[in-house]
Amino acid sequence: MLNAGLLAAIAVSYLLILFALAYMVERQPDHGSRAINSSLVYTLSLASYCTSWTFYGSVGLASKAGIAFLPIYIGPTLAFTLGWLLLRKILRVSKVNRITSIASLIASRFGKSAGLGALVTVVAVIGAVPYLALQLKAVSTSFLVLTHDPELAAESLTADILKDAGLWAAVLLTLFAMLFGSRSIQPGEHHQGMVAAVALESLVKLLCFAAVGLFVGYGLFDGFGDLFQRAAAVPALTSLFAAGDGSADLNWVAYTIVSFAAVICLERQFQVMVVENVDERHLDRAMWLFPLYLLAINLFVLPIALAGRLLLPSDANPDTIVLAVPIAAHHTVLAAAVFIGGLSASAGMIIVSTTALSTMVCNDLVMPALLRLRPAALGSRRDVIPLLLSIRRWAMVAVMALGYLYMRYVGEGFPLVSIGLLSFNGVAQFFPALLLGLFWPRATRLGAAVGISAGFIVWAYTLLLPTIAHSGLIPAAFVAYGLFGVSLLKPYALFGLTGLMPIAHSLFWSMLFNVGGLIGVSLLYRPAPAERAQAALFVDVFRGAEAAQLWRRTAALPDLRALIGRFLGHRQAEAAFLARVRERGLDPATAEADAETVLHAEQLLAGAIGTASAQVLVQSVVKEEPLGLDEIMRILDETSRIMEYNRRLEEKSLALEAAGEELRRANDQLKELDRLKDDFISTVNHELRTPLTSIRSFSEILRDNPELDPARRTEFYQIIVRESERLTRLIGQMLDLAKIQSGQITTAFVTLDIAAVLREAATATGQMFRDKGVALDLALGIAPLVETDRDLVTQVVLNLLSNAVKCSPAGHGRVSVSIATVEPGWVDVAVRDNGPGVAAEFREVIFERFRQIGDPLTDKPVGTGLGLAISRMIMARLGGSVWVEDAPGGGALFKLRLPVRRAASARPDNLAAE
Amino acid sequence: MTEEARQRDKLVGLFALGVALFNPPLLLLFSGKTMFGWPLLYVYLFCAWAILIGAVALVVERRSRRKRADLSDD
Repeated sequence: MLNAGLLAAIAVSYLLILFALAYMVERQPDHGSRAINSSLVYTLSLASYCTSWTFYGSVGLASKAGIAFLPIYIGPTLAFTLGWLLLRKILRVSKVNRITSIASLIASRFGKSAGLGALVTVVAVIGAVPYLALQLKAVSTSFLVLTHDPELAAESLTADILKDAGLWAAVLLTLFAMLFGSRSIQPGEHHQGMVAAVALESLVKLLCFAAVGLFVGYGLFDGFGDLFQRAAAVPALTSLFAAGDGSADLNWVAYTIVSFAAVICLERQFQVMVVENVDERHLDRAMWLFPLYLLAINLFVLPIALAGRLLLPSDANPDTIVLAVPIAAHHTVLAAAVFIGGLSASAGMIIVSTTALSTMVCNDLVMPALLRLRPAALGSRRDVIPLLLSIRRWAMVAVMALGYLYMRYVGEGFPLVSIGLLSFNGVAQFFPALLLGLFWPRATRLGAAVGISAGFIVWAYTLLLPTIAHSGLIPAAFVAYGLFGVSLLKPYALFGLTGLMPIAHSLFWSMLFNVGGLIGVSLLYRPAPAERAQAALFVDVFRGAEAAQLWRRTAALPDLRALIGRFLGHRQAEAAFLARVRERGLDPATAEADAETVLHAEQLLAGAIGTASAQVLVQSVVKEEPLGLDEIMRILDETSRIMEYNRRLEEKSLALEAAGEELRRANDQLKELDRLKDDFISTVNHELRTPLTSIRSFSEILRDNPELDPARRTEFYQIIVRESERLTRLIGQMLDLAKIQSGQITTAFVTLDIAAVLREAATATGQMFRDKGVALDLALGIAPLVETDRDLVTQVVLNLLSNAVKCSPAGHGRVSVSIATVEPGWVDVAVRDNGPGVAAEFREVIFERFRQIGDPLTDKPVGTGLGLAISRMIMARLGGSVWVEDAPGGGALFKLRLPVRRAASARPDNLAAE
Repeated sequence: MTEEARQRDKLVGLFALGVALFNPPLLLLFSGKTMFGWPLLYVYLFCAWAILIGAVALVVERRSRRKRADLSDD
């Protein structure tokens, strides 16, 4: 097999390449940010979720339990499907509050509580230790398998600790994490180099795993169909194709829930998903790309597991099948590639996890404690950054040491997957507090503390302690017989609950106590006003809730500036702070910082050392006057009142807008009417003047020329009389028009015989016809009864008849009146003459006021020009219409159309009559 | 906003679909059977998974494309 030295050299050079990549990215911040600033890199860094558990452990589990490895990846898929509801809210809240870890998120949500942050940190560290151990174990075992005979893989670790690859991996990866996770203090805790390295690792492990999968499918077997068929022929393997029954079902559900919670709450997932996120929009693509990565890396798990069961001896360590299969096929290069892939998977997890844990330990555990216990010692330091960095580095060393010890003394006897699930179950204890904290404003600090503690204790008792007892470090009697011999307290059958596998069992009890404690205590005790304000800030983050100022805090600007300088480094941080100060128009040298500026300083600090520590620090330099409960209530009250005012104002302004629009329309209409009225008056003026002028001039002629001969005199008198009559008619019609337009005419609808009306009209105008020698034909037949106004219809008919007489040629004129029913419900009256007719282009014009066709200079006007306009208005009023068309054989054909029943649309308004 | 709420509701729907697809009652339907020699449960799970991912991608990418279009309009 491979030479140990050569393999070690390959591993180290691979890690050095990662170093180099990370270094380059960090050195070129501009280029780096473009490379990092992509949703693909973001997704790949999220894929550090797939650790050596996925790489080696899934195959191990699949070789025994078939498809049961899958829910660990279904859970995250479901969690990311809810990306816009859940993950984006976490991202937003964290960005707004400069959150640097899950501990500071939970601490910050529950009133910036230092105690809660410390609790979460402790739980996270204890939960992560087995997981780190899992990675080291995978590296160490895979190294052992590659350099020894695979038969030995099941054997225990090398006795000589210095020859243990796990130790060296631990040392190397700790160094790597130190270099890139704690090189400097960055506001916001972005580690671009680390993200780039982790993304590359994710790519490498996917490719390596896929390579093994394809090799198995096409190198060792004749395609995957062949592989499945040969596996199906082995009775022992057919069970791998089936979903389990009963307790396996519950296990499946439990695994899905645990991984759903873990993909959000794991300190390293939180680190890459939230803390390292540079652009919220990257989440959009990651919502489907990350599940796609999970699908891709799991596609070959079952085939590789089946191949392992078919090809390897039955006592082979299931967790090394991925490696053992290429070795058994004597494919050394592929085996080495698998080792690199596995190393990538481990390294990615270890680096991110130790970075995240060290940040938590420093910001949420050590710093708040130091600030509380020894503020004087801290105060005397001019530059606190080296202290922060060394705390982080020592935290990394400590966490890795714990992980290594766990692996060496505890984790040996357990398969990778069960160690991983143990960890998942531990960090899942944060999920209720996180979820309810984000969506339920009533969740309180005390509730969260009780819930997390209770869940943690139950988890530790039902999962963690039994594994430690198994190794002999603590007495194992309680596992078999229960604590103090009380059988109800057996860790794997708590309160006598049997029939569940350990993970499902532990998840059920821990979540019962966790959620129960959280909700119960939250409901029982009212939170303090400050905590309520902070809760509202989190729950309503998308509604743009602003940080409520519950303290009147002021501070001397130089003090604040010095504080920021000490914790963030003097140049960049101070520059950012001062820019902000100047923006607010304050003088940095002397001025007092107002509450807003103090808050900004606190947020800047929170980005580096956590919210709880930042608050303690800022408190040390501010003059703080906490608002009394009354004042806070007043502020809250005022706020809600202002919101109510706002809402009403908005409604009012909308109403005003609508009213304004209506007014504008009415005004336009009025203007148009005004214009029409002006036109009308000037026309009327002209029309009245013409007869008046002629009356006046002929009267003057008669007055000035008494010697005029009687014939001329008579002629002039005639003209004066005719013009007076015309004037009278004109005035009468104008009054009619005005009446109709202003809606003053009253209509009296009666049922009448339209033929009778026509006959009466013919009789009334009979003299006119006879005078001009025009024949009048009435072809009325039996007309239907019409419901209409007798006087108005008569007026229209008279008008049409007199028009017809005027237009007909004297002597041989012929006018015919007829009734017809063309459309059901309507009666048409036709008045036809044999005059010159109406040219097509004038057929509408003649119905306008004062419009007469013909040349006004040469043709003497035959009417007032108002008759047809009045007729049309009347017809509109009666719900009918009047128009003119071509008469067959020349002449004009005027038609009236009247509704038989009183039309509902008969409009009483004068405007419509226009 | 209403458009975004609509998209969000679609995702909630897909989540519910995922919960139904990937849990025991439906899994038992495909358990232990084979199709052309392939284990049906395995084929079903990966197909359902791929479809769910595709549906989420459709919802999410359509919205971000629209968002980009909106930005370029401004």
